[in-house]
Amino acid sequence: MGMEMDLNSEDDTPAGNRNRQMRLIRLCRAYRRRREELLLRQKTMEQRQKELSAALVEAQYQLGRINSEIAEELETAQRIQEGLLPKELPEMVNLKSAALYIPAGKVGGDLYDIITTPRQKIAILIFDVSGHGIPAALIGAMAKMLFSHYIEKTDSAADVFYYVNKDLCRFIHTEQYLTAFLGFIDPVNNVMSYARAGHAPPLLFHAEDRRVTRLDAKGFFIGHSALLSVAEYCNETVRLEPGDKLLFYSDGLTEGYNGRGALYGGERLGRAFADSGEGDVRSIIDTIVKSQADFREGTPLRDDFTLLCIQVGDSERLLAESGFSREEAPSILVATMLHEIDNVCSVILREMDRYGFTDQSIKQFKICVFEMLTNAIIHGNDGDPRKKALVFYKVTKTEATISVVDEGEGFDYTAVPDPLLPENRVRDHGRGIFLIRHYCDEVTFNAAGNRVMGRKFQGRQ
Amino acid sequence: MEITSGNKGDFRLFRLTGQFWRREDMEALDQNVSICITAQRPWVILDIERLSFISSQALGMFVRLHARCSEAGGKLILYQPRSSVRDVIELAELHQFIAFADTAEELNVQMSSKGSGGTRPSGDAPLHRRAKES
Repeated sequence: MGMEMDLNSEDDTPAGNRNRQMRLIRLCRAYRRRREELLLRQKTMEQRQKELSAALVEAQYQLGRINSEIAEELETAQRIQEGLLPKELPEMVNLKSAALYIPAGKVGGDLYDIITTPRQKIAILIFDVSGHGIPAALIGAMAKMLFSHYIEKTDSAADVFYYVNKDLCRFIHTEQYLTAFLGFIDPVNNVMSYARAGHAPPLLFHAEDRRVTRLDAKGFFIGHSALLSVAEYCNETVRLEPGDKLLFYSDGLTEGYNGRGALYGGERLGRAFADSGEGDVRSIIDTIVKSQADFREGTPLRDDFTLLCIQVGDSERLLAESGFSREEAPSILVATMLHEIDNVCSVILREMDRYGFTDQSIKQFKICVFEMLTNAIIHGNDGDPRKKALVFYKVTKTEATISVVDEGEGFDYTAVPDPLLPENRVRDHGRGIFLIRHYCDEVTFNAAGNRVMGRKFQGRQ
Repeated sequence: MEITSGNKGDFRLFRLTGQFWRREDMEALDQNVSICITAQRPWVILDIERLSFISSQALGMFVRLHARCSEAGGKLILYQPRSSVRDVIELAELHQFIAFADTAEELNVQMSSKGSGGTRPSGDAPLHRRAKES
């Protein structure tokens, strides 16, 4: 403003004019300098902007690369974890099963398995690793291997937990841990012994009165090194009746929330199980999953969950079919296809070896087991892999007994032709029963003709 | 079961190793012997020294192969069965009509005799037939 007043001054003297001109020149110079400064600053800022844009693009690229690496790793972890879940549940004697795993993210911490132990118990395992993602998957994989290892060695769930806990504590030095439930079902005697390591207690639906009870047991969770010295597990036993159903689950199921922040909870689960308990195992799982989804009203799951349902069959009927008495307490194996015969044979013959049967007796009995099972699978079950050949056996110091029951219509064992008769000698079949009769000391068939029972005494050739 | 093959004189020799009860093993042996029969060389030795187990169905396969070789004018010889397998074969009385040999000498005798299943090829078999074998 002052400058304008100077420039507009009415001093028309030459000195005044010169003065104004000088001021004008200075003003122009100042303006030009300022303009150059601004242009330079603009240029610098444009350059800086370019650099920042390039850096941003680079950062975005790096971020994308890291993201895709993480996604790839998560997918690998997911595949590893899926590989640890059973592809299909095993054929079991006297038990039916169905299972479902619902993931909440890419990699969860739930795992389950059903394993037939070397002592012919059915091990039901479910566990849940704390947290999610790759660390949970890694610990899950490690725990799964350890559980499988120790389940092979002992039928005491508490002992399995003790050893797995001890091993995991040696390897894991983070705050992560896992909860687990392990039950060993004796399918012939309908009893389950079990232990719980902080896991959600399974539910038992009693077929007789439609009650639902919880299978509680004391036990700390597994793998947290701070609890190594205090972790204790104890075995409990529950008697199972024909038609009873067991429901194993992880807490992701009961911890489902709805939009109002309410929890699905154990009580609702118990009611859903009681309402659906008379259905088959698959429909029970479907009903419970629907019940929880209806409750959530579209609210996303916070945690993955697993459901495993087991139906108990009638062991009395099973024993009656086998030809053994309850006192004899036979072990049981199952075969549906020919390639499984070798394994069945190995189990029985190892027992005979353990009890001191001669090599010759074992070889002869092997022929009997092969022939009985081949007949049951090929002729009795007509080669249908959906049908089972049940193998009951008992080996003692004095005798080895086997009973093979198929699901066929039976045959008339009195009408089997003698392969040694001249007219039969060159036939290319019909020698199986002949070999069984020769190599067993006692052979009996049931009236229906779908069971053969053979016995070999120690010391007889 | 493993099947390896070779020649022993004018006979085709198949060595069976392991346990003989699986359907695929029976099919494999059947196929091998069928090739001999189709090639008009139905003289077959089954070396079963290394066979540790045999089922009744496998016994039936021996009977079938014996019948096919005999029908084609040839012979099937079971060679060197170990005691447990021999016991089963004798129990089923297969040794009554299928040629057996426990030793190399017995095998030579069986190879040179006409046997129950058919005739042995003459030592002067056509050259082109021998060439195919080699």
